[in-house]
Amino acid sequence: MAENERIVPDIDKNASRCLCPGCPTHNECMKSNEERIFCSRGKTECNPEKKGCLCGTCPVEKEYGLYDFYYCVEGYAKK
Amino acid sequence: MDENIEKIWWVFPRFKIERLITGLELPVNLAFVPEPTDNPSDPLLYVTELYGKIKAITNDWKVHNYAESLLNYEPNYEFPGTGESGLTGICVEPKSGDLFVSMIYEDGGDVKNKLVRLKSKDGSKMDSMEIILEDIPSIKAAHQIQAITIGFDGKLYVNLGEGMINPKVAQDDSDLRGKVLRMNLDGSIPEDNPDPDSSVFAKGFRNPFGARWRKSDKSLYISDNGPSYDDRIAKVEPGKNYGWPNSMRENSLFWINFPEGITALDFMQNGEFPFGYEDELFVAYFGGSYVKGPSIKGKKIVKMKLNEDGSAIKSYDIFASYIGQNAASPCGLAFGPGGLYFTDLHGEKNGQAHASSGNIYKISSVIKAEGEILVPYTKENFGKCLCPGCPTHNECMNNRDERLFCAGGKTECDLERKGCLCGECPVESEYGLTEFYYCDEGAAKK
Repeated sequence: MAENERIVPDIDKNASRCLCPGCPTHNECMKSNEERIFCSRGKTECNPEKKGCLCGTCPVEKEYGLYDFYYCVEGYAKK
Repeated sequence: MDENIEKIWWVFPRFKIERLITGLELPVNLAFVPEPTDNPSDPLLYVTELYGKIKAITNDWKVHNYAESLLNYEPNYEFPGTGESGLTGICVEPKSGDLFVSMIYEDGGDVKNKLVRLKSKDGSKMDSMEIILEDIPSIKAAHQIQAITIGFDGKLYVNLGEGMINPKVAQDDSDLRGKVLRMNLDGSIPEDNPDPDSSVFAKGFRNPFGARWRKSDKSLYISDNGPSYDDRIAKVEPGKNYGWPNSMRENSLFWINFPEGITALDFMQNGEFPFGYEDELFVAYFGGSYVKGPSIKGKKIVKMKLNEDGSAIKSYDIFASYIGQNAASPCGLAFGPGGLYFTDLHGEKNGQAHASSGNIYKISSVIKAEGEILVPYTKENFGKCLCPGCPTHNECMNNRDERLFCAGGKTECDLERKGCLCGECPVESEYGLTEFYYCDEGAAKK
């Protein structure tokens, strides 16, 4: 992973504000692995079913000027 | 919404009320033209005024004197009492646009019921009158000939009160009072009536003011006023006995023990309100015949959801309620273009009804308001909406089955913003929306 491509830094502040844990797409597998902040850490291997995405109102997305959805499926936000 | 109207009428959440016509003299019933044209000068609806007038209202909302002086006696304005009778029922014949109307008349000192057919070249002024039914004893005290409807079978159905003085006639098969009649449009008896020699379709009614056909079960529903107990609604079926004077409950769908003067009724069955109200029954509860200010009895419109076969009521809500200080009360009621229309009989200014101050109001859904809301509140969009899976969608919203806020507007539930799915919702993308939290901010506007 080229660090210079990643927009969102994987820091505690971002992880704590991330809305992923309350998202309907966030499934049991992701929960048991304590996965979140996919816009920074990249996609999951938990095979999620798309059930809607909270990224549009996530403070992390807003702070870093993102506009996409389903980073958990598509991968982290790139420059 | 007119600020003054808000002070005199409370309406159900997410609906608005407006006054369309004023200056009517005791407007009783409304009848919309079944398939109106687009021509501004063609008729849209007709209104019976109790003391013998009919107004035609054209598509441009101009009011025309269709007929006057239809009563052959001088009414006395006694409310309650002998002033409560006159010209009441009305319906429009779909093919010709002719009107069928019901009224009482004096004949050598006797009071009688009659049903007439009125013809007009342009629909705005009566040209001729044909008597369909007459010479039925009546009374100047409400229990007269009432609602007229044309059924899905093309037959004429007529509600006849029992005349009050001798209620037992409601059980007498040879007497037309206290019955619902079924006739051909010329007044002749259809061969397939329960008794092919009688126009009686069903018996045992007291004062059946209102009638309307329900599309979903192709059945006729009527309102019937009880004495000091039991107003009721009944699904009228051929040959059945509805019990009066022994009972106001026999074969009834529903009754209220504390009577509220039930008058007109109609079903929401042509998309006038959002789909969630489909097939609901709306009933005018008139109340006392002259009561000023708000009242425990009547002065309201109630909505009910029936089960599929019309054998039970599943839900019941007050839909509109009079909160002003005068004698206005819902009387006539009918669904028409874009909403529910009703008359308020006395209106706001009448002393003892000597003034022409009756009104026609329209209640319409804010959700369906044209030109304001961007996303149509349709069953299809309701099904696609992601709100139910959203973490902000809470128990209160869930209990009320609220969703599709981008079309229906914000919730009245207290909410905590826990994220929003709108950005990825197929409804949002279909209509080109870009915002979030419509549940909190209100519907998307053009």
